[in-house]
Amino acid sequence: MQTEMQIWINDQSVALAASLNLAEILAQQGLDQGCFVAVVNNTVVPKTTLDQCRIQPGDRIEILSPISGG
Amino acid sequence: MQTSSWNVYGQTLNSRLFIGTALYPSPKIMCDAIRASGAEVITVSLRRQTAGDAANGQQFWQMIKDLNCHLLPNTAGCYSAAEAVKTAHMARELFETDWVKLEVLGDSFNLQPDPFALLDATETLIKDGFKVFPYCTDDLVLCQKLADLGCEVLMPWGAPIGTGQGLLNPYALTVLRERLPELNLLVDAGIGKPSDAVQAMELGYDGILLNTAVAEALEPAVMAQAFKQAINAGRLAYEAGIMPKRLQAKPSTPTLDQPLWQQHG
Repeated sequence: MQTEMQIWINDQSVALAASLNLAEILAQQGLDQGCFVAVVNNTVVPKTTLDQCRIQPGDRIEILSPISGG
Repeated sequence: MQTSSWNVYGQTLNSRLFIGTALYPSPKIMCDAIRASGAEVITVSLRRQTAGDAANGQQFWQMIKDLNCHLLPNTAGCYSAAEAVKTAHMARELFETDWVKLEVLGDSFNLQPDPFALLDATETLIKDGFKVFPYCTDDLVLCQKLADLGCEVLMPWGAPIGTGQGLLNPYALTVLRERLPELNLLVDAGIGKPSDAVQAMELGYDGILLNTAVAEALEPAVMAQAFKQAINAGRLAYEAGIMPKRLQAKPSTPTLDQPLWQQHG
């Protein structure tokens, strides 16, 4: 039986398998398309290391994408 | 005739207009206006993504890339140095640029920059390797301190963001130009009409950053052209050397050898 963990993605509580890395989580949530930046517990995670980032229970993930600005 | 090119943090630019990407009636109108403006630098921002709006975000991103401009990400909406620093780091990873338009606001009524938090954030970001474009007030001492920290560009407001009131304090902007001759100075915010931009450029400002005045015009692409020409005219006038104001009238037509009946006392 697979262990679950509770994490936060853009302030939404999400229950996920405990063994997933950040790249897998983003793919599972449909948040890995195109241009985005991932932030875990206020630290920017470079795109090249998403699959090396191990997510722990209670971690807070933010996903940001470009918008218009003045 | 075009104005001379200039250098911003090692980047040679021909246009002296930076333009925002917000508030346009449609993405197509935004692209048309930006192209018409001739701007080579456009401001962008970042927000949390959700699965539902990912497609819109990607459409916007593709349009921005197709414009082939330099990107200047902002930290709009930040009210503390910590927030702004965090946003700048996210923007650097997202947009792959170390340029940042640093906004740290201190008041929600007039969106006035917080000078103290702005200095804190600027110091941190320069240490972190950023090229900072601070959105600041026209306070001379603040601007001197920003320059001392290593800013090569300062962007004092003409008036509060989105008000279109033009240059509310030409004296302060004139003093900044006089006291900081080596820096690139751009008026950012408050520009409402092309003549406001001309006025700033005639003062010797190196450029203008604007958004609302174009985006909220009835014909944004046409207004973008108007600003392009205004900024060019203002800069040419500055480079040409503007005559000093005089109190006493001085005839422009030669008076030598006038017929006697035209001579007055």
